[in-house]
Amino acid sequence: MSPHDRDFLTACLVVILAIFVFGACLMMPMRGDLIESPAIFPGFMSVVLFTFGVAYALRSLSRGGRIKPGQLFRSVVLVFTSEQNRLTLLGIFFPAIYVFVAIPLIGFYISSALFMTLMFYAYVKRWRRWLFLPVSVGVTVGLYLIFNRLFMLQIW
Amino acid sequence: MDWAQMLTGLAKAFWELSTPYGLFLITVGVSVGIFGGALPGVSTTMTVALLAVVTYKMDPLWAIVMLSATQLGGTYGGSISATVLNIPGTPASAPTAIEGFQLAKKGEAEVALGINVFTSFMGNNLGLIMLLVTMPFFVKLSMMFGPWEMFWFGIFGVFIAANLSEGDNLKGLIAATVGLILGCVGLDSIDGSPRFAFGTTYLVGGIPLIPAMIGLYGFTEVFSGLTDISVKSFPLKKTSLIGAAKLWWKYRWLSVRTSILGYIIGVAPGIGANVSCWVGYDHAKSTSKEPEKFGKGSIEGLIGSETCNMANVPGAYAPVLSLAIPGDAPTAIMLGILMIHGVRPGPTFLLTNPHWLYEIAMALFIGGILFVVIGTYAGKGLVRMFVNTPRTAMSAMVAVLCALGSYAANININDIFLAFFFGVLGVVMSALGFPVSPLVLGLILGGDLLDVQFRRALLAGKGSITPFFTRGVSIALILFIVAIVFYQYILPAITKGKKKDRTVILE
Repeated sequence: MSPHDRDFLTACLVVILAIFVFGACLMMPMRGDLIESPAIFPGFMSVVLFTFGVAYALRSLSRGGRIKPGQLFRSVVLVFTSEQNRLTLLGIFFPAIYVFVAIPLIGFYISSALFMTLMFYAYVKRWRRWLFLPVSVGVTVGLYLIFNRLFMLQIW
Repeated sequence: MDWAQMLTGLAKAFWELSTPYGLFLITVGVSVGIFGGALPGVSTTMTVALLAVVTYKMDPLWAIVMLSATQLGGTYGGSISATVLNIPGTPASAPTAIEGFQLAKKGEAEVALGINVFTSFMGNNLGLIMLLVTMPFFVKLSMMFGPWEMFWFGIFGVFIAANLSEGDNLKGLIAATVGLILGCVGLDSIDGSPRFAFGTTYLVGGIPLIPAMIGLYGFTEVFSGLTDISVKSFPLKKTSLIGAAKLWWKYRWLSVRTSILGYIIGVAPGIGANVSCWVGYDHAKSTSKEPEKFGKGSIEGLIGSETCNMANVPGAYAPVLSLAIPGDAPTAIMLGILMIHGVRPGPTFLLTNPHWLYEIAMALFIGGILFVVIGTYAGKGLVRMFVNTPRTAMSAMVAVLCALGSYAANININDIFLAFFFGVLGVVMSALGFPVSPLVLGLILGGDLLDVQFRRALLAGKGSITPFFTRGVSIALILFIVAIVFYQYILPAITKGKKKDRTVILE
């Protein structure tokens, strides 16, 4: 997919987002006059976003941007298969497990110590392996002392 | 203005604050401020609020001296984590994260921190001079700021946002508009209706700024750094404070200009350092001879944002002492502390108690000297730790700090999810060539400034938009915005067109 094709696709998504925001504004409660409506500012912004989206689409069209379904599918496949993207996706996947699964299930500090230890084991080559657990636990205890004891925040 | 009275007052204040007790309070304030500001999720406001607890039994003047030193330290402290970890410790250090972290990647973390500390010191001092000299004038000016003028100020911010994009202004404007819409999420502050909450209780509270920024800057960096074993660690070029001072001297006029901007924004109630840092950054970018360096580790960008940010601190004291209107959140806490002690600032307060102004000015001055010392050593220690740690290990620790920072701001687990979502959004935006900074500025300007002031202005004008274009200060702001648009967008387009024509002829 060329940069102009990608721009055109993004512009279409921006226009759809603007229409969605405008629709959500229409559903907001209306009390009194129009100027008192909570929808007036976001509604106005959605019109501005729509205008920018159309300008962006026209610009990419004038530069040869098009949506070609076959190419779109190949680009999506490429996102998951190229070496660089695979590394970035892994970089998102591990923190996602930590944020969405570990923290809600076993609490912040234990999951943080575990996350750091596992990440050190997986990707850190310069340190001696026996250091991984003490460093993770040390950092976690340090954070606990600062945030829970010094700043008296209730983090678990 | 009675210059003799001012100089005598300042000398007396310096003498009083130079006592062991005074120096102790300022040192504690600055140290706690730097520490709190540098911790992701612990904002300057939170640090001031936490330290305010220990000031209840103090003399009110000493309490304000300590808290103003805390505010100063916190404002600077945010730039340490922004530079070293790419996590803005406070919202006002977001532009520092852009340039400082890029410098750190090139091995110039010490240079960046040296510039931060020195320009912050100079910004603070220039702001103090302006506070002492121009306070009566700017207080009168701030009285003329109604919702119409605040709205135009917000519009000015939107044009700044567009200029923050690297090359493609349209993408910057789209990102800023999305930010403005996201800023409207939550309970409407005038009507009380939920907006874009989609039936969830979490979104009724709005999109919290700190988790959003931690996600956009911190998590985005984690995602790329966690699995990237090709970079072992960042290099380090050593520098001294004198080296930083020399660099500051090279850009001294930029520093003076952004100090004036920062001070003016500080005086205007309700805008604060979160906006002023971007104004300073944008001014540095607009006037730079090397705008292509912005976003890749620009010294001018650092100086512009840090000086403007710090000059904002003294500016915020002008409305709080003379009108009892806080310029920003930390000064609002200080106003509360004063009221707890039975001190009521107002129009006649400084006439009867001029020593308050001198004591606060001196506390900020001495605090400035102390944060140069403390900040330099704290920063150097962090930089050493940063460069000696493998990048993947650092990314894992930063991920934990990002989660903790998002969580600590409101003790809400959903904030961590939100920060993660913004991190992914940052990666997607970066892949599509959209800058994230306009989105952040849009988020800052959207809910509290543009939306609220726009509707307040409409309500005050009974639905009429005429006052937007007829009030004196509004007209001045419109002319200012038109000038900015002309110089930043129209003039470069004309010049580019002429250059193209010339190329064609030559060909």
